[in-house]
Amino acid sequence: MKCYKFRENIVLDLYGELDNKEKAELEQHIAACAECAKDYLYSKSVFQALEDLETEDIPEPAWDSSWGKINLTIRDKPKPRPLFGISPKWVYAAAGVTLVFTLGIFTGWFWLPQKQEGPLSAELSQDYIQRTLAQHFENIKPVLVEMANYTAQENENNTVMMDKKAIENLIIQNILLKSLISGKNPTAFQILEDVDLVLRELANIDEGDSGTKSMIKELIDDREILVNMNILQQM
Amino acid sequence: MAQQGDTNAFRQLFEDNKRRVFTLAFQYTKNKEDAEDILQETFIKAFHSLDKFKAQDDTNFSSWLYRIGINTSIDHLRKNKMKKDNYIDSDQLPNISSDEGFSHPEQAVRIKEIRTQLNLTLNQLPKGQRMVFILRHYQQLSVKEIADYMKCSEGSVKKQLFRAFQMIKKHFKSLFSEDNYEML
Repeated sequence: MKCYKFRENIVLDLYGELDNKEKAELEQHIAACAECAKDYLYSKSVFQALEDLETEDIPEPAWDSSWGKINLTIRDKPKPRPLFGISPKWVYAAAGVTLVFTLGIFTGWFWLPQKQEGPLSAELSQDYIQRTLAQHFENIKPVLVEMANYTAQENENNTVMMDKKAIENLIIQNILLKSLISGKNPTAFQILEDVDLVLRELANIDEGDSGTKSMIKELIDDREILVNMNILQQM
Repeated sequence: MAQQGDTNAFRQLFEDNKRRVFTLAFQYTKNKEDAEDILQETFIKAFHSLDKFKAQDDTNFSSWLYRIGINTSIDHLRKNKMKKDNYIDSDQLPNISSDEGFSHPEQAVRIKEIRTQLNLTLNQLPKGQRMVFILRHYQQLSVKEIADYMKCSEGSVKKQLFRAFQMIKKHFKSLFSEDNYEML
């Protein structure tokens, strides 16, 4: 072993971090190496000087003032309530992935040269759209279920919190999907129209606006959006 | 209870752990105001991450919080390094220059000299090395415990401790006689 390793072990020995074997090897080396022996003595002196320093006085902070600032912050910014245990970052991620996926299809549909529509390409396009639609419904369902279960009694203490950015992403996806399926799937198109209404209301809602929340709940129930979604997904 | 956002329960957690976090932050920054900022930031971060904390056999709240405190201290120093290049100001250090407790005034002066030299040296260490030294020397944690807290290998902790100590030795040369390594 080279001297460098023993120099490291000298420090570790001072802090009691060597096992018996390493300690014995170090002692053996120091007995044979004048430079390391010198370094050992000096390291020991420095270590001793550090140990001799009295424990530094730790000042007493204003504990109450510190707690006051902490309390103010955690009260001002309550943690957002996750949708059905789904963390907002997962809502973002899912919405992001679907948005990119949808944008890809949208771009391809309108900007790439169209092939002569044969039976295979038509089937593939339908397949992609169907999958995107299914994914979109999966992203939207937790929001709709949350609103469908809303009751006015819980308005103040159990506020339904929606992430506005996530909602806006869902609106964009919804618009893109509507353009894709327009004239091809009237049932899905109608669901997306209804979802569009709900999402736009949600994007503009204020936290304490229990009236609009109740109206959204009625809209979801009256138009049977969730039921229709489930039926379409099972088809 | 604190996990459900109960601020009273969280206050109790603050009371139980505040001194340990503040002491670490002060030893790391040598500045009371910065240590108070770190204390507050640590608890605010902890509150907002309570969902991530799941009590397990080998992790209790104090350890989890202490880890947040370590990372917050390092981040705080990183953020403030640019605006406070001469971070450790000897005027801000705790008053240890009084003769009280020392039989000879020279001894008090010497102790102050060593402490000042040590703090100036710590100020020049990379943030990670500095934290490893503080945790080992002042907080008296083992290499293994430090590795656990800082989520790195024991080998890495040993290397950082060695390098920190080498730097201290280098800066202490002027305080020791060359012949017998006794203090001048």
